[in-house]
Amino acid sequence: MEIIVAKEKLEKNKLVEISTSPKIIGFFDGEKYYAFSGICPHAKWPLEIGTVSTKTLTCAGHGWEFNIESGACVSNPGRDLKSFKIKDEKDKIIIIL
Amino acid sequence: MIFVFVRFLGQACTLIETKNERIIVDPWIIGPCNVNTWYTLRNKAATRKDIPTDVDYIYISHEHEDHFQEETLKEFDRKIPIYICKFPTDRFYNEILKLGFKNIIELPSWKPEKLSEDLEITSIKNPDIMFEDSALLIKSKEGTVFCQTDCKMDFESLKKANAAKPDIGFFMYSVANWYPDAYNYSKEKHDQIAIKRKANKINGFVNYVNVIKPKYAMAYAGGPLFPHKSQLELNNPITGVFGCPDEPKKAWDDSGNVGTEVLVMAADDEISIDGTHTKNNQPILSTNKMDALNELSIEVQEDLNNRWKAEGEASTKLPTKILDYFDKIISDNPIARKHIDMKVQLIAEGKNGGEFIFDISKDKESGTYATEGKTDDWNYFMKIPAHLVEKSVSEELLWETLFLSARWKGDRKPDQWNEHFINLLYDPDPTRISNIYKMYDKIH
Repeated sequence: MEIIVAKEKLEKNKLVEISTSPKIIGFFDGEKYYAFSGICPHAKWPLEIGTVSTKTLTCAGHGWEFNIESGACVSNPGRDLKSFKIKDEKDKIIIIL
Repeated sequence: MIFVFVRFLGQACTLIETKNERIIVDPWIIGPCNVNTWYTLRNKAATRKDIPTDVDYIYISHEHEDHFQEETLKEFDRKIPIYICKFPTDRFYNEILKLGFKNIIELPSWKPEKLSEDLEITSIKNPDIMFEDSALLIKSKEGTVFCQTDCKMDFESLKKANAAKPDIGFFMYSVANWYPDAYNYSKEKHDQIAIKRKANKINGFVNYVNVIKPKYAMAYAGGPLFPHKSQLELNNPITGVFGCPDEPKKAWDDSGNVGTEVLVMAADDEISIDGTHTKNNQPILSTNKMDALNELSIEVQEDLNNRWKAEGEASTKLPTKILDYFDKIISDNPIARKHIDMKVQLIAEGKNGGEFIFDISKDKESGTYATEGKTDDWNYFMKIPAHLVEKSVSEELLWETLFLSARWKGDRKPDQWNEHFINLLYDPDPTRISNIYKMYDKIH
């Protein structure tokens, strides 16, 4: 399954909800696009209200941290996000679920 | 005429008064907690006369001593009903029974309980599968009060709390943990972690308030004071992990969010349901914290020293007790061991102490898990006063309480949180552990 997203939807350095079911959020750091599951595994906070700094996503609720490239939970190893492969095309990205 | 008001009594303790009734939440008012280390953030230590014992109900959110403190609870009539959340285990219920309270009522999460014509409470359980905690909504005809206590709530619960339209909300703004203070970091690394952690927590406060949106919000369940002369550095307002309530207020005011007024309340201050703030004390802020600490430290030092002395010393049986305890909890919980997967070096420091190695590796299927000795091959290192280790292996002192005291030193290789190890120490009951990992394996 794939989700196609227009690049213009992903503003630089902003977490954006791409899909609600399954919940997926996207991020563009100015160079590369990322997509991962959008619910924090700790207390189910929506991750689009979190913040990203130096490739680390911090959940808005309780500060859990995730690497945006791998989805790995930095603050509590093993409680990772699912990260999705992305095909980068001219004016769109394709998220491979 | 306004009848509903809340008196803030320090840390997470609130007294909610309606026209005819009073309920106190998380009563820790006097004395230190967490093995004679933490004091509430107030200018002068409270005394027994500061405890409002004439209450109709008590609610306790969870078992950490800054919420459930024996010295304060001893002052209450044992017939007063105590309400708690219905947790997966009976461990907290049984701890309250041990204090002599007989009327303990467990409330299923999100099921309102009518205490009288004009008072209804709703307990809200945290979503964590390993650690038990709860928040509380208190509703009367005149208004609604929300107390987060230390509860790390799921987002759906926040939205439900918002739907209850609380007039007043009390929100946690500080960590309640030993990271990074107990670990062997350089000062630079420690400070970097502490500053970031404090900022994350304050950001969490802003987000909680913004979702629940009470008319008035107070930052509480925040940093304690550590007045013992050996622990003064933990209080540093810049490089310490524990903050003061002016910091979350500033973060809220700077956030641009609207719809809630954040107030700074000192211990003993009151707020009525219409937001009238009665100031009865000077708040401890990041700007005057060290002055307040120094005064408190002088005031309580002798008492604290006596308390530390009265803890006694480890018995000659300690090495055997340590080996038996760890061998049992590790061998009883193979599923936990598979997740923990590390070697632990424990140094029980002081008289009758010693050095111990616990092999909690996933590949160690049988044999002896706990031995005496020293290794460089550890993943987790703990140096703890021997007499405190003895209390924990004798099940007189929760490991978490000991860790929160910051009266120990730790190290980690790799430098990362292992929730499975802390979970094993939290409660090694094999049935609980087995149930948790059934859920954990489903989620992950």
